[in-house]
Amino acid sequence: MKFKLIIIALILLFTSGCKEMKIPDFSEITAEDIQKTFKFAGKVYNAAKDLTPEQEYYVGRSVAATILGRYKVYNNPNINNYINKIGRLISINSSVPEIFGGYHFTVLDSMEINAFATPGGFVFITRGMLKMCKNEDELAAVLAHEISHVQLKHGLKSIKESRFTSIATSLTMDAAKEYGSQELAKVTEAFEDSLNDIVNTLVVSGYSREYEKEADRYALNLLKVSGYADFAMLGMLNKMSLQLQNDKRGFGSTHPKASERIGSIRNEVRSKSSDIFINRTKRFIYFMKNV
Amino acid sequence: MSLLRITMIGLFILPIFLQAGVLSVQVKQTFLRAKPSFLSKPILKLGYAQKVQEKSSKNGWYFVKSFSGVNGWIHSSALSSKAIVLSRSDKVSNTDVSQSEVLMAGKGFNKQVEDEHKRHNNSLNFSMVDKIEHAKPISRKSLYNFVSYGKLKL
Repeated sequence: MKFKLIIIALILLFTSGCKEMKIPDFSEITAEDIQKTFKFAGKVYNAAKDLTPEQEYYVGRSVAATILGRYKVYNNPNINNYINKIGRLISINSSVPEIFGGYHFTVLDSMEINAFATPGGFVFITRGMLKMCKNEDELAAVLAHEISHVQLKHGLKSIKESRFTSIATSLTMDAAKEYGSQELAKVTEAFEDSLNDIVNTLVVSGYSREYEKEADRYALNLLKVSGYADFAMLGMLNKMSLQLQNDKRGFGSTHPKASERIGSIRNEVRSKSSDIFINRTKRFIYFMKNV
Repeated sequence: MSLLRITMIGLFILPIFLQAGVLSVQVKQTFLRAKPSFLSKPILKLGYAQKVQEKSSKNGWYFVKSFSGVNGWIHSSALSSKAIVLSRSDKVSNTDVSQSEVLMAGKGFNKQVEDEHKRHNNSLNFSMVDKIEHAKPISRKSLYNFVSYGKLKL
């Protein structure tokens, strides 16, 4: 009897007191259930918030494929390996070291001064931008700024909300089923419109001043926690201020004035130029000698 | 109370306790590691949507048990508290999630949409994207040496 009472008490305890432990039955879950659950009808779809990491990855792959259709990759495994080590270290020290497809850093064979980051973690830096850096800490500042755009989802935020109004239901489809031809055409159109929004922002119009400053501040912290001198960010911005003032290509056309960006972070910089460790500059010079 | 009865109660309660703290891998691939550090030795490879049981957490890392019974550390950014469902036949009934916490893998912008986009646009360079993605990852030893020589932090 005592044993039965204990069993009954335990059943009551775990079925009434611990609601969060209720086990729903998902065995008969349908696409309709999922659609009802997410209630997309009438909801404003926000790409940065509502796209899954997997979808962000697919958007990023296509944006990267567009960029790589316009720029050649610089065929120098040593420098590509070097920037991947810097980028990997910075991302590991961030709060989001792991993303769906991982971070990838690539040098583009162009003398234009530029750097891009796609959603999903593809980061590109041109030879022109590399040559503007005078040490590893400045290169790390550029990469940290781009990683910040990825983690702050600035690329996804440039997608217009209207891209999703006609496909809200399709976005919740069951993974087990493939899109029919009509549905696929509609989703692909929204996908391509979203890519255009991002590519235009990256290559033509640039992010807003607010996003650039937000990425600068975020990058300062990434540099500090990784052991780089955050002073390097000021160094890069100063150079941009001088070199890009009359340059209407690349960074010069897509980024707010460097002097404005310097003003917004100057008080947050904690290191000085002497904090840049000599070994880092030595290896930077070594890897840059043939670039 | 006999040992048999205690065991029976244990067996009854255990599965209920196991529902709490189930997490899903939300990246394509990650590893359980011996210690909470990316320099630590990987002990088990985990794929997208695989589930692990949270046991404790520390500085952004979870100590978890895989469903194959392996214990190890995994960074929180690789995990989601949402149950990730690969398909309708995917078993999620062993989790404590409510329906609003279910995330369908492969929905929306997916491989099928990418392929369709690729079909219409010859100027895209997906072969280079694939090459970049499949480049050899940086080894732990190489990263350690890079950090040490440059007096950096990890």
